[in-house]
Amino acid sequence: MKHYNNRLLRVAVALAVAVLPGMLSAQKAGDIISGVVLDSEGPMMMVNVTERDAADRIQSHAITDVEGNFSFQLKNPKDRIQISYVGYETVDIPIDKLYFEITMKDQTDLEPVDIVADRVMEGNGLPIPLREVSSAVATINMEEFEGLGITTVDEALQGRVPGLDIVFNSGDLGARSTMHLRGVATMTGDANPLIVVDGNIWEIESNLANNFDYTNESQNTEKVSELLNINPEDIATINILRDAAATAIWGARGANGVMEIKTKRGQRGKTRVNYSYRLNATWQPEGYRLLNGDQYTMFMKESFFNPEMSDAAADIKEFNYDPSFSEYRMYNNNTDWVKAVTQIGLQHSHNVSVSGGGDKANFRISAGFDNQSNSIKGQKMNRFTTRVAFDYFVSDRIKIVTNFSMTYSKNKQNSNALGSAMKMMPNLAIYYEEANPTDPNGPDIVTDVFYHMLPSASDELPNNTNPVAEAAQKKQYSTSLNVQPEFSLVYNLLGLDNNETKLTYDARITFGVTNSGGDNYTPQSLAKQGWADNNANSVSANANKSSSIGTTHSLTFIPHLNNPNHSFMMMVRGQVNTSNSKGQNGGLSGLPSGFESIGLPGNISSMSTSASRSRSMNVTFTAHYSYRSKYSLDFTTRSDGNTRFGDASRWGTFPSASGRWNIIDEKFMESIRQSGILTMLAARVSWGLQGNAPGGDGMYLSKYSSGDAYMGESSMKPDNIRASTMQWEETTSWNLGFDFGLFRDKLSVSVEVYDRLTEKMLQSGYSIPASSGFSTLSVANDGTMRNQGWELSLSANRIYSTRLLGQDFNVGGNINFADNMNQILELNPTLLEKMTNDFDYKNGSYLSYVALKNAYGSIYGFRSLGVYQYTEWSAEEKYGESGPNAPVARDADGNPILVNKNGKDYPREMMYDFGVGRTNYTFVGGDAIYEDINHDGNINELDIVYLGSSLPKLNGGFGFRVSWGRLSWNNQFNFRYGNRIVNASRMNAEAMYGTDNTSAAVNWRWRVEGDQTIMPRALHQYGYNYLGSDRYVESGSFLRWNYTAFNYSLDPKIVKRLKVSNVSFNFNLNNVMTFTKYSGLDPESAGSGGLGNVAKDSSQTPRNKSITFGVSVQF
Amino acid sequence: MKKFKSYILVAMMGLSVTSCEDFLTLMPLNEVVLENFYTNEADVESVLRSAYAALESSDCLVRMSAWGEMRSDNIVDGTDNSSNGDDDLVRFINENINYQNSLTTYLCFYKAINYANTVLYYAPEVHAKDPNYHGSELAAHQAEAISIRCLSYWYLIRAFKDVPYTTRPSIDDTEDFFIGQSSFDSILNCLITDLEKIKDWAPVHYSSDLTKKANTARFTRAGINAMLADMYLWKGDWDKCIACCNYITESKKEDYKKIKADKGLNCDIEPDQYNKYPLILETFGSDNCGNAYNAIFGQGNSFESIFELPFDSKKSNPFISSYYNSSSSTTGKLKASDKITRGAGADDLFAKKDVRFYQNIASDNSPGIVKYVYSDVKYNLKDGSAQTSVGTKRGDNAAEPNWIVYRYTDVLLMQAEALTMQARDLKDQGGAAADVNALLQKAFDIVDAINMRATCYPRYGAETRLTYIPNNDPDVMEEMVFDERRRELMFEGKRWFDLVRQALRNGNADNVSEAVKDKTDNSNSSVISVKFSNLNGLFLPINKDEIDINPNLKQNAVYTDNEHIKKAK
Repeated sequence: MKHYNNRLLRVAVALAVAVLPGMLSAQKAGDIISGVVLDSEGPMMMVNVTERDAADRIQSHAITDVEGNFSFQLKNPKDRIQISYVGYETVDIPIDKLYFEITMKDQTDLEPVDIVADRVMEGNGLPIPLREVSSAVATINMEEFEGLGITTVDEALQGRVPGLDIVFNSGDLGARSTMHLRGVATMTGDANPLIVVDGNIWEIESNLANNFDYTNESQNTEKVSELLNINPEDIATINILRDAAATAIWGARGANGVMEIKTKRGQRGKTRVNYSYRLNATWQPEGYRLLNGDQYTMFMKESFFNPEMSDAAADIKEFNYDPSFSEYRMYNNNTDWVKAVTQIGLQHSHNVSVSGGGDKANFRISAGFDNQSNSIKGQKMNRFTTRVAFDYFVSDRIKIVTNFSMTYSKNKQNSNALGSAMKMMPNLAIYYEEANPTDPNGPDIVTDVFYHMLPSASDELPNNTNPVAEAAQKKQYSTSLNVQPEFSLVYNLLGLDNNETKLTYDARITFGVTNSGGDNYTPQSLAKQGWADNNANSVSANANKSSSIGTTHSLTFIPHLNNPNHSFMMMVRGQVNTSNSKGQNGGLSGLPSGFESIGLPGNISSMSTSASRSRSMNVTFTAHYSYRSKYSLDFTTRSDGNTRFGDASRWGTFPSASGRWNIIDEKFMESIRQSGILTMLAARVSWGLQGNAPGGDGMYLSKYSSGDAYMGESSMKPDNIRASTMQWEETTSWNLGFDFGLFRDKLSVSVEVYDRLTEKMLQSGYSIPASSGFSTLSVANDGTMRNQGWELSLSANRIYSTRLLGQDFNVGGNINFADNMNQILELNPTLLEKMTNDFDYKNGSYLSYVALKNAYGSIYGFRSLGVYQYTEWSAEEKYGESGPNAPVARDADGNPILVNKNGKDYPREMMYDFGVGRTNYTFVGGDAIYEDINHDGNINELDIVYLGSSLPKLNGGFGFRVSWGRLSWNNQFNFRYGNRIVNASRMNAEAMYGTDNTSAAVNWRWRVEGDQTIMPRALHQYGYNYLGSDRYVESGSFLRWNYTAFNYSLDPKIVKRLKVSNVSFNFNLNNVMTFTKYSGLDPESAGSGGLGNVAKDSSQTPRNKSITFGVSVQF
Repeated sequence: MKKFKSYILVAMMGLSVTSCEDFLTLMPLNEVVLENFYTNEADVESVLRSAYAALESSDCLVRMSAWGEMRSDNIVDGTDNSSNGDDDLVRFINENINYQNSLTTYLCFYKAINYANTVLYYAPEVHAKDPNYHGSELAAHQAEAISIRCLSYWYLIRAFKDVPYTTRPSIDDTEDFFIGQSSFDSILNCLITDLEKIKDWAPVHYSSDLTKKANTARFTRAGINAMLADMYLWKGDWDKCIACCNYITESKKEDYKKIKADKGLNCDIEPDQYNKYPLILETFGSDNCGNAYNAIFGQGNSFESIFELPFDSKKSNPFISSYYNSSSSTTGKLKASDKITRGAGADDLFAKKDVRFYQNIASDNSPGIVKYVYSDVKYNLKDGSAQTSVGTKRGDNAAEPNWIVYRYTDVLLMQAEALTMQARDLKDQGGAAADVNALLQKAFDIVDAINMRATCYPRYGAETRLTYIPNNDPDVMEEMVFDERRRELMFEGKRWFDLVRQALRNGNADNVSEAVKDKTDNSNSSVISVKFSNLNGLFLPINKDEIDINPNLKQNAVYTDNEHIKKAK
């Protein structure tokens, strides 16, 4: 019936149209417009029909019914009618009649259209075509990492970007890496690159208190890692801006390089749902083998006996195996503490994203949930991230962009468990043990009560808290919640098309709120001194909140020039940011058991609050000009207003300029280009000035704070000498780069050479004479530093393709190398003197020496020659009594120096010389031999020699990717070559100086006269057996296989049957293996040393190894 | 319409730019800035208090003892091994001092100096601003600030001889902080000139209630005169030294009258017993003694006190607790030299019934330090053997002892020394024996008064009373004065300075070598003699950190060996 009526209506209308032709051209507002929408198969339902004005704003709207019919009331006869449906070509026609019969075309039926637009580089402020980019930028597409089991961005980038040195300091959960781009060019503040997400700076400084100490890494790691809580699945691209021209629009903030992260956004098309799950298992690599309980007991007995040669000194009841000792059972064990605190850690990650879009709006919503337990017991982390990106097109001219992101994480920490377990006495019991009541000689009964050493235990023993009990009972939580909403309005003021002059105004407002806090609880059972201990039943809590608001206004002008050879664009941008933070923490101890609240009455152990705020303002101008895309010129300047400076130098202006010559476009290259061997050849040069502001607030002011009370009354004291002369630290950078595209761009190569000269270096804590009443100026400009280096990167996408067994077979890869040299050219000589410390004569320390024009990180120490076999010297060995290998002074020919004593010649004893006014130490058998370089019979600082450099000669990485049909295999490696490391962790493990458990290597130690070994005797708190020598200096070269990953997508036919659009599985191994001669746990953890420091590996927690299985489903 | 919108945008951006200088001026939230400070008298006083507080910082207290006494024959290392990590302290005590020793840093005193200079710089500005800040108050504050500065420099030049001297506050980094040293003599003259100028600006008392802390915890006229007396004694200006000492005796007599009027017989002060010098009685009860100790060291702020740094239950003395040790049963980081003997022999420092032995040292075989550590003591030395009870050791929770910088018997003994020196000068110039003896008798009266009090004369009999022997022999008197100083002021940070003063006066350091060898008996004695053969060896090296930073500083020539080694490297 309905069907019939519609037909009837249609006929009636058709008749009316035919009969009343005069009305055709006279539609007016209020007329009813109607019609039917069909496709090749018949009427279409739910099709959008809109009336649009000249600015493309919607005036009226209708949706077709089951029969494909629509009707609406006309607003304005000048408008157009637009009919659109997902998957079909949009129809846009003038309203020249009252009834329309429209046939929609399926989009897939369309003829393929060539996209002529160049690939553009966004994020640099202007949409510059890729082949006109004149600065040093490395771009990584996250698609390359799809299917990898990575949890953080830095993990993926390690060894991937030339010049970006990423070092993982620790394997603790939530710990972050240190990143240095092109070396460290500053001596103050954070040297990590600036991280920018979707055009917004991740405010490290404002989120943390301003008096934040960057040198304190342990405090640093935890906080900063919260900022990197960005889900890798949400990332679209990462740009690493390396030279001054590239970072110029970030001004002073970008002086250490910039990492621009762009997140994924919704795309027009069918709504897609993607779900992925990853299961990741981690475990601790095997470290040093440690002594067991019996070996340790023997070692301790010797260690206490040797210095005094006295049984009484070694008579320590815990090492006597004396059953009459009440705690006997607790000290006769062979406990593997490391095994007791480690486990297989598991991580479950779920990620869901929904994205799609239509005419009016695009959206992408994603959420991720991680539940992670580490390979060290007591470390757990939950993380929830969500990100919403929403673009709404109000009209052709106006677009509204909304972004929202939230990250919540809760981390249970237990940071020193492994380090503590490695030191624990292995003869000590984990759990309380009781005698077997039925069989007194039988094995002890192990209870489930944690054993703690009694306060009455011998003073000499290390009284560490039981790490297993700590992992189980101590509560140490940190939580953080970060919310970042952002709104922006983009208004095209002039043309819309590429062949019109464009002027775009973009206003953006960004909010950031971070709340973080920590809750700690230590029960009385973990307090060493019982109730008297300040830690007994203690709680501490801290809460920090910070918020920031930033506004950005940009105006982009792209004129349409009549001569197509020229292209020009420019942008002006102004930004204002303000942020503030507040924090408080409190601690209580001696609470009643069972209560863990900070609100209860207890002994207040700590209480503090902090507050800070910061503001910044900047104006940026950037312009790009290109002639036929052959010659390109860029100019950027940014003025930064910084609250950390006084009026005199508050504004710093930092210009940069760069140019690019696409040599390949020249006429004489024509034939080569045609051949396809060389498809890109370009030279780039850039120059820029970068500024760096000091790391603290209000240093230009003279500040007064409360001092110690006198006679019970409070006092005020001047806190600092105001830094009136403080200026911006300035770095002048040059970068020369070449781009090559080979074999139709299958292989692209880029080479960069750079020079960065940092002047007026900001020195925090600049020493001044104490006669001023201060030991330091809070900040001063002094010194010049140079960073020079080169970078080479090759990347090949499908360098080799073929068909193999009926499937596509592709091979691709990347290689990069980099080297950086850092040297100080000028520095106040007295400051330099101060960095070069005198040798302190102590075990374990290496002389630090800083010299102008030398790269830093040189290692100086003694040369080790093994162990003295005998105390008494004789030319021929008398076994067990004396021998030639005894501590005597020798001349240059190796003959003993004789001294006359009581009318007889005796060889002179070898001494360790402490310097003026101290008693020397005479070496005996079993002591370490140090080479007496100057043959004066004294080992002292004159025998210290150069032992190598901490700086690698080369570092970099490479990777390759093989795909065969729907299976792909991805690998990445990174390496360092030519550096030397002080293996401090081995030094400590073999020192035989303290009472901590040590490496099993000490079983080879010297025990009696005549022993031939390289391991000296055990000496408790005595002797000079581990002076800084080449014994612990090792080659730090390594090649690490970071990951190997397999990814497989299911056959589309199967997928279709499952009613989903794509299913893929991935499997990967992380930290697969490390090829190195280095004997320590992780050559990487040593870093590369700093000024006056050598690269020292004192790591206790090496990086985990892990295995990941993941599945990803797309609907 | 479009145009209109753009205008608004441009205007908005313009507005934000014009106000940006204000926008970018951020004042710190947790501190006061100079621009908002120094508005009234209270601000001046609070900075002045921080100058005093700097003097009683742990660093200053340790150095007052280290520089003034630890090198002397009174003190040895109390831990008997160096494994407690305080190597520098042990080396310092044993004369193994090099320029890396942390006890040769002097920042803490310059902090006090800088705070004092800051007060002196800004106080006149505040006076101009604050109508309630009167000229006399300003003068009194200036007198206090100058006194604090002078006391700090006084410690510095006695320890280092030549040090950088500045009276400018460190406010701005445009100033030159890299100043060289001024000589001992020129600094001493500056200090004396400053103190002479302001000595009458300071109040006589801060409170009419003489038991109030403020009267001894801040510089009074008596405090300034005591410092001046000390300086004149080093300078060798005996007349002026005696004049300053006399001023103090007169003011103490005034105070005594007032206390006597208030308290009558309970005032515990008896000038008639002690050669007319108003001293606190040592005896109490029927047979006991220890009364003066309890007042001077136990309670603090006693009648005899002139300037001391106050501590209380809220702010404990950081030096006494760990160095002299008031809490646990073992000795602190320091203990008394076991060469300090007690008995009837002529070589014994303390007479058998000298109560000060027990007030200084725990017992014959336990050389832990008692002075300051015990809050009250009670001895009965009637039978001449040992104490019958010792009193109360301060625990962690007890009110902590003040640190005495100047007290009355110190000043009296300065006067005795000056009189002896006057006598020596007179004798050298061929003066009449009667005149020489008159001066020596005056000096003896002082020593006798102090000794009588300590031996509880006449309660425990006359056997230990000093007899007058230096008939026309000032050298004998000098020894008596120095011995009495050592007994009276033991562990109060005076002995080393006394030895140095004597050595400089003699032109050789034999007295110091003897004293130091006596304490250590170690193989170092030849090194010590060589070191002190140059009088600069009595003074400390400038610390490495300072020498490295400031090229205008000259190292004490005795200590330049270390640097040669370094250059060779």
